[in-house]
Amino acid sequence: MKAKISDTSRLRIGVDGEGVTTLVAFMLCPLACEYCLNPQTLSDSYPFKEYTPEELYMELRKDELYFLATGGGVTFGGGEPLLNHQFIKEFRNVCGDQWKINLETSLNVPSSFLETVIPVTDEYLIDIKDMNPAIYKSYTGKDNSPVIGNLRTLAERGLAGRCVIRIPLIHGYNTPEDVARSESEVVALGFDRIDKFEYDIDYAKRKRDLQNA
Amino acid sequence: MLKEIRRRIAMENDIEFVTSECRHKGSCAGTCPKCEAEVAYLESQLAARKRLGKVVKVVGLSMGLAALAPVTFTSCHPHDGDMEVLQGDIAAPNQPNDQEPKKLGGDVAIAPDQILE
Repeated sequence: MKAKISDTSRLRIGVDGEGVTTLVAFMLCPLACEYCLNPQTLSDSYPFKEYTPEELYMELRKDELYFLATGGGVTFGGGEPLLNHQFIKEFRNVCGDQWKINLETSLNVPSSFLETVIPVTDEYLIDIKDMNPAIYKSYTGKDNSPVIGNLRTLAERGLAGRCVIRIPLIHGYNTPEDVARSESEVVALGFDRIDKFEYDIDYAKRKRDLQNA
Repeated sequence: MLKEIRRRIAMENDIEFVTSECRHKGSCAGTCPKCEAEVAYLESQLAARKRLGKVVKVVGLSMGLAALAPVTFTSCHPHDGDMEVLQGDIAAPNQPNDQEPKKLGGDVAIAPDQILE
């Protein structure tokens, strides 16, 4: 089993999960967000490396002391990490129980993909974009019913406390009022760790331009 | 911060740990030769203690230390305490839900170094 990985970023502290983490960015994503921050993951035409779970573990284990000392580990992002759900499950088998495994995900995947990783995941960082289906489709090009279904699954399993729900204010797509409505909806589902922020679209544009240069 | 974690691991395991100021210039992600050499030294010392049947203490030694600030790079010259917060990172959220949206540099992007400078 191999996965296409765009890049890894080591020794991150307090940015995507508890403790010291390594961010692993998978290739490919089902969404087509205008302000995607990692456009280099969206197409196989950009550089990537292929890893087996064992190969990835051997590369990441150089930071194991930091992971263990700080309660950190690996944050899988991308791209959409849940497209590689079987890889993540197998990675847990390889790395053991002591590393944290966090997912930075949109949850816009079939429910079976989420089911695969629930037993091996410590924390979910979920960017829901906007709960309004029309806004979501306008920004991502996709329907958000899988997102809502997967949020319900996590809440019903008693996993809401392990989830951080990110609700962005997206220039040209939603308003602060929309953000507040989305927040009310996810709180009603049982989530209480909410991270509201505003996309820096200038940063995203600069990065995309650089990527296309 | 990473140096402090290394120092704490050494102290808790009775490992002699003499760190010197490195000559690395500019931002260091904790991956400069000096940092990596210190980690390798600690790992070898811990492995030696395990072989002797000694209890090794690493898990959870620095819990909470890493929650102090969102950081991805530290400077190890002139002193390791310097930190640079990179655009594109998001702090672990712990603010109350009633706060106004904050403007951040984006999500958890992996960015080519040149646009972060």
